Amino acid sequence: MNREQTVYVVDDDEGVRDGLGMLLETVGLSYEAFGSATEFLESYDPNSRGCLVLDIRMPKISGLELQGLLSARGSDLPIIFITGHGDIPMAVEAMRRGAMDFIRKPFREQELLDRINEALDVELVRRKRAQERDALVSKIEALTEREKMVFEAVARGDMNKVIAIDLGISERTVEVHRANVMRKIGVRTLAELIRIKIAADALHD
Amino acid sequence: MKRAKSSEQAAQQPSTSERFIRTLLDNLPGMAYRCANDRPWTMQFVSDGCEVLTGHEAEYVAGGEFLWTSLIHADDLTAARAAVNKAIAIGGKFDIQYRIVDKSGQEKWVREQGCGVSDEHGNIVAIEGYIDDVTPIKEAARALAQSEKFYQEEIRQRHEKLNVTIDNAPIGIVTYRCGGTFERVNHAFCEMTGYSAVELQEMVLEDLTDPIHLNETTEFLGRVQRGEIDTYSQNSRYICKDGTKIDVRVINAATHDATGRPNVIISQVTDISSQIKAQSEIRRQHELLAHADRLHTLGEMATGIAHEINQPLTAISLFAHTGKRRYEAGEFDRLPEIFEKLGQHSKRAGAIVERIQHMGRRTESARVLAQLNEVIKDVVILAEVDARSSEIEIQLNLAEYLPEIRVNIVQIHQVALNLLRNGMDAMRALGCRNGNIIEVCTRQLADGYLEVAVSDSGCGISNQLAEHLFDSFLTTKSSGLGMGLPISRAIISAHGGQLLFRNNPTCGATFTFTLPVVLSENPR
Repeated sequence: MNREQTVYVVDDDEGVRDGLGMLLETVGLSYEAFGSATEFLESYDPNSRGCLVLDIRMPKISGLELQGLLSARGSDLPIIFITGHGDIPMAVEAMRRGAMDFIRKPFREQELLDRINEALDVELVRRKRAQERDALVSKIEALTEREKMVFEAVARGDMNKVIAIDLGISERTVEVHRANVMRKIGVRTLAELIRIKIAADALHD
Repeated sequence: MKRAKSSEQAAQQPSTSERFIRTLLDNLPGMAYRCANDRPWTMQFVSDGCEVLTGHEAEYVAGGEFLWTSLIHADDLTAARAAVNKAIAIGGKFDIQYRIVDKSGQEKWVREQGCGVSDEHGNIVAIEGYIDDVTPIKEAARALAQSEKFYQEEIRQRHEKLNVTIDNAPIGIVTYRCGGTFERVNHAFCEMTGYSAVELQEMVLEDLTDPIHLNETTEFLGRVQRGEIDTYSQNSRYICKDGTKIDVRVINAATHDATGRPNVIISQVTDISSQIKAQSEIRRQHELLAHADRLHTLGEMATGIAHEINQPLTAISLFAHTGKRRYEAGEFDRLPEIFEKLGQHSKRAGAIVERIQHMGRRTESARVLAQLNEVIKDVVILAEVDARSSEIEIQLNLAEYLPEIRVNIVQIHQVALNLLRNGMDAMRALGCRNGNIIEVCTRQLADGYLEVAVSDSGCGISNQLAEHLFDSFLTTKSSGLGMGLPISRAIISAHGGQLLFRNNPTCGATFTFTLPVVLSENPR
């Protein structure tokens, strides 16, 4: 498993917390356990990576409320809820708000571990995508205003001659800008450049 | 005879002697006389007492013309004459009583004593004697006889009334000697015991008394015999002729002989079997109702309870799975810790199940010695199931060194749980806006009671609600039965305590109940 990922367990029941901790430790996952939502929020770092295992029913701040608070702070950690008898309406609500899954107590441990691993994978993929997206955004951000205009126009399929007239510059200058854009973004063909443009546009939708 | 002699002598002897006798006779209260032994008893001599007795002057009466028999009441004359004649015929004395009618017409009773006077030939020629007015004596005697008759009648009537009362009394009335032998039993007592009066007279109290009450009965009898007590009452049990046992209430009072020693005990015996049966039936119904209420409460708490049991079960499952993995991986180092945890959480689940079983049990009415604080702590664990789901905190404030109480623990749990749940409901209804703490306090009151107080921060009790708070089937909750408070109050009063409530100065209400402290010298 990915060493950078941590399973964050939040459950008010010490026994369940202990048991989960020992199980995670045994399967080689790194974990941190918290007795309350407040305790977790106190040590919450936006850069935390991994997933959350939340008891849906807790005093003061419930698992459901914690989900809301984390979402407000921009956290995208996948959440698996632990639910008990009669918590189905709450579980449904949790799923509606984007929880990854819920699992009923008492649970089959392998099922829980599978869910946790899935969550960790999802988080990993999400993070990779985010990293790619971030890289792309920063590459585009690195272009000068004139280069961005040329990028837009090239991606639209405009001929160099047309771009030169539109921007009121020489065709030769357009060619220089175009070469700079290709280099800065890191593509060699026009087709690649167009694909990046589509991906960048998708980010803004 | 003596007097006749002196009369005879008086006629012959000197005048001083005659005067002396004359004075003597004239000063007698009655009338001394001498009369002829003729039919009208013609008086020859009468003393001065004649006038007081008859109203006629002595000279007139003894004048020879006066008929003594004319004075005598017509109804008495024949008998008087017969008695006199009979006595003098044999030379004896007579002593008769008869009525005369005096000059004024008044009837008088007189007593006449006398004897005949014979001449030298032995013929009775005269009668001498003394006649006295015995009217007052006669009247007194008659009055006495009358009053005696009156009182005898009175006594007879009283006896009859008493007998009728005793015989027809709806309760058993029985008298027995201090030794226990029956003297007299009434109809109701015979009916109650199935024995006839004759059979009972052959028996003693011990024969009738159930052995378990024998010691007490004997002890009471002994104390009566020693003069320590005159009255006592007891609950006892008799064994009837057909072998059935009846519970009786006996009120006893001793009567005393002339020397003041107790001799007879009068018992009033009431058959209270049906009363006791009715009471135990009521108690049984109360217990059934209380049990139903407990089951209802458990039903309402089912979700919370399930959650509460699920926690240790989940932990157990986790530790078991982990243990298996570690064992399979050959990592034995932490297995003891895991086993330890498994045991710990099993016990935790077991404790919850036990409390639920305890609440759900149909209890016998046995009361046991208990520590109030322990009872409260026990039930708070169950109440916390409810508290946790609504984030209410139960705060305990228990006084130290409380004396013991004798209670039906399940029922006290029921009352405390009911008050806690009511309080929490009231707080939840307001969304706990006055705080989320419900407080349970115990303390000792000055008058031999312990008090438990449950204070919430809910909406309090409105005056309108207060009036009907303990009515059955009154509920402010959608799921309630409305039996919790009436049952709780019944439980507490059956324990000799009181269940009360008051509104708190700031917000919410406080419900209190008291329980009597067990006195060490009287463990009952």
